[in-house]
Amino acid sequence: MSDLQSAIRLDSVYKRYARGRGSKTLWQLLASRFRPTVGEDRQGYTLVDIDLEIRPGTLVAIVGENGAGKTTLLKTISGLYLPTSGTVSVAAEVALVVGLGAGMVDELSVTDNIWLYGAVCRIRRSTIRDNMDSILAWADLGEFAGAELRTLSTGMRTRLAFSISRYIEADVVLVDEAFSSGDRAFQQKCDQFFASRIGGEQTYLIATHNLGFVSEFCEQTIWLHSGRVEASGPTRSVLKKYRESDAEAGNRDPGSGSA
Amino acid sequence: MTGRFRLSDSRDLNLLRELTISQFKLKDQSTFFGLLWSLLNPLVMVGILFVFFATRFGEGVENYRIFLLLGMVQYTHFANATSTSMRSLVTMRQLTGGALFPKELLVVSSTLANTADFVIAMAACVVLAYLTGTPAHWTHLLMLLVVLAQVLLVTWVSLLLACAFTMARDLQHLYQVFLRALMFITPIFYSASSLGDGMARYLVMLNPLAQLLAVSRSILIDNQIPDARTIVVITLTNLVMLVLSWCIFKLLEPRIVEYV
Repeated sequence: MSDLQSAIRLDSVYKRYARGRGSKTLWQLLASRFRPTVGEDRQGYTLVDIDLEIRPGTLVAIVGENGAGKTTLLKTISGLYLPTSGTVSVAAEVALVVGLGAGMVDELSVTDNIWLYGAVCRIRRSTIRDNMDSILAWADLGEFAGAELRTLSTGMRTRLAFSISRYIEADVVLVDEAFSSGDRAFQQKCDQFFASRIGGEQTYLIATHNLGFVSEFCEQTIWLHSGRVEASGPTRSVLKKYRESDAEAGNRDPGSGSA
Repeated sequence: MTGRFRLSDSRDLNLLRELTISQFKLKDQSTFFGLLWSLLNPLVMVGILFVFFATRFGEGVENYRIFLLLGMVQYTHFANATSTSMRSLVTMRQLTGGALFPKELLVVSSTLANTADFVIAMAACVVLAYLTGTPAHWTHLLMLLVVLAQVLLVTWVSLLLACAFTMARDLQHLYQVFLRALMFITPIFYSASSLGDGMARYLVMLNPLAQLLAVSRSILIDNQIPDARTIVVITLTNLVMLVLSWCIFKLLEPRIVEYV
């Protein structure tokens, strides 16, 4: 019954990638079928024993070092990846934004890309039609509507993609590293957008390295480390532990900078 | 669990439409010259084959020029569309492995983007047939059925190839070899009736492209209405294969999104 109260619920979820992933040739594919599996039981898992429960209408952050499993976790929650074991239940419609602007095409115009990326984000055609001007205006690209995407700077593309993704209607939105690039003005606009979402009906789960953003907007934080949940709960306490561990790691190994 | 394509979901249709349009534009064929270039390849091949083979294989074949042209156009479409669509999941890897929608849309949109120039090339065949003395007849409208059946054929072949290609990229070399062989197993520049009763004849009979070619030639060159049974059998076979391939695709989809 508690399913009704949680937007996302994971019970002892393990994820290991399919065998033969990354094979490039028929031979490698066949060979991967016959490789011995002994001793592999608990190795090679990207996610290990994840239990999570996220209430609807919250903004939740996922933090952790590169390769900790943040993207895999989002993809598993979204249903794109099937968990190797354990159960994932998402109460409502889910949207996944991995790599802002993924699927946009360089050789097409900005307007064409708005239609295309809108469709990829599962935004209704009528919504795009009604908001075409405001999408361009928010991204400050009004005069570039007819320009080919490849003539735009990286920052401009990010703005465009973010501007479109604001119209995603899904109840649960999973976001990966969406707004790490872009100038101060863009950051402020993103902040305004997320500030307007606090207390709304949509649930956001955001993987990011931007701890300033996390402490400002996310009430809950999940810290992933080597595929396990190291800590989760109120942002303040989780970030405190995360920063401490980061500092320790920094002291042990002065060569590696802390995030 | 990336969902099933549902005609009832306007967002699936919208995505199919946008993916098709964008790939079509990328092919550079929304321009007049772009279309001309795609017709150029079969035309040049027809020219060469005609010069070299007309006296040898063309003997006893009615309207050999149109016979050759139809063969070349249908083969070229099959070869181009399947090899492009085979790569679609990998070319659009960011979408395959990072977005939530039924992944068959990527393959189907790729085959649809290749359909426009096929339709135009087939229309050009009909017009050229008229110019070379074939009288116009209502039965030529049946060519639309051939186009439909061939698009079905290309779609199911592409769905299977696209799955396999995500797992083994060297498949494209094998497939190129297969396409080269197919050019000879398909009666493009010779007529199937010249094959006698040996194994070659059975190879041709098993070849779905050859069957489609036989139908289009009987419509346009022999001015015959192909018998209803042939048309029903060909369309049904391709439909059944499409459903089968689609099931296989959906079965492998969770694996595909991890492999790309």
